[in-house]
Amino acid sequence: MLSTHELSCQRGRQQLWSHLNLSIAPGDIAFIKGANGSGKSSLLRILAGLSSPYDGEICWHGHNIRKCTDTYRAELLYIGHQTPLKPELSAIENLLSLTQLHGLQASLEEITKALSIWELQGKTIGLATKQLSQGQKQRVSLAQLSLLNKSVWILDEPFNSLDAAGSRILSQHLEDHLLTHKKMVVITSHVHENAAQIAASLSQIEQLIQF
Amino acid sequence: MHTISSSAILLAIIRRDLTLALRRGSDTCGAIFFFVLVVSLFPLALGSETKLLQQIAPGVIWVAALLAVMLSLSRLFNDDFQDGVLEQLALSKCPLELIVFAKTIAHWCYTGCVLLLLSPILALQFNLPSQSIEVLFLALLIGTPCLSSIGSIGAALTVGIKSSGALISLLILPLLIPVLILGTLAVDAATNDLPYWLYLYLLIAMSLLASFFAPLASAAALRIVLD
Repeated sequence: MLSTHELSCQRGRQQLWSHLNLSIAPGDIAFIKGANGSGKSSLLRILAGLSSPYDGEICWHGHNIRKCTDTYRAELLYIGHQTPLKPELSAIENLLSLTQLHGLQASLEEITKALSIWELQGKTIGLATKQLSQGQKQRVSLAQLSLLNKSVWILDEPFNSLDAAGSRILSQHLEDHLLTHKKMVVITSHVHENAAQIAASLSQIEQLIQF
Repeated sequence: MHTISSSAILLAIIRRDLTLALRRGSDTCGAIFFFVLVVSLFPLALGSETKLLQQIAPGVIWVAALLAVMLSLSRLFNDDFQDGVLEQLALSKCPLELIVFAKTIAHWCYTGCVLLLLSPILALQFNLPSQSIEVLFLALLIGTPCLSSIGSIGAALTVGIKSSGALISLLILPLLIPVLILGTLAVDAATNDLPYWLYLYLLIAMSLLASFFAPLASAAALRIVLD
């Protein structure tokens, strides 16, 4: 259970949002909507523990995440608006080093399987990622969802630069994660069709936060 | 899929950084070529006056090594910051301080260590006696990790700033002056048959202190950048 109490965010002297009380139980998705610059990404970075909030606290199972950093991080997968890939490494090498950062050693079969779920096969996954298109990079980065077994997904604009097929795979993942595995998701998107798509597959969005 | 220990994570990071350094060979070699060229230009420009060359050799080699390390520092954290990998490093199971330490070791392997291996060959151009070359090698072996460690603080403080090279030099060079002085004094002492161990002991102390405290400072700086 991930909850926030009276969370506020300030950038420079400007207050972006304040008094945010959120609670995300297993099986819940928090869908964060808002205009550019309204502080969606800031909220996600704060929830991931990368930035500190101006005021308020974030709790994981009732404990402040500053106090239980290790247990919280073990359950957390944060994918920011950038694809965290090294341009000189191949898709396989990138995923290998990303999983190693989580303290896990994946085998080559596991990685190629995860990539094939995202319809990346053959030569593509051996190429340096600088040669891939933006959409392919996004798929490689999202393949972490299939590879790592984490309870909390914090995803910043994951639908960006994905094509229709890619969006379908992502929606499928979200559905499995929430309905089958009863895990938690925090997601942002400025594209309203994505909201509609997730809503259609989940019958309802648990929490829609509009900044 | 099986879990791995923190030390295995660190080894993986060192291996990843070395692979990256190999793949972007031209960037990595830039600093090395700079070192070789600067050091080789002095004997060419000053002629074959043995005494003078012997006197300036330690200073020239140390200054060139210092500047070559400076050149390669700007990319240490900046690349990871630009492509978003730094966020993932900060969220890793392993503490950021240890990750910075691992990245510093990798940085030393592809700059300091290469400079170190080239230095005896370059020192021959200065007609240095063999004992001085040995001491120069030892001094660089002890001193270059210190350059990478302290340099990492500058690299961490300037993450996200475009053309950070000049700023890193301004921040870090004053801190590295003791290393430069001790390193050259050790080689000078060896050339003049004086005891040189004192200088090397001081260098060892500096290197140990720097490799312990610098990752703490760098990690703190990186956390501020990410906040």
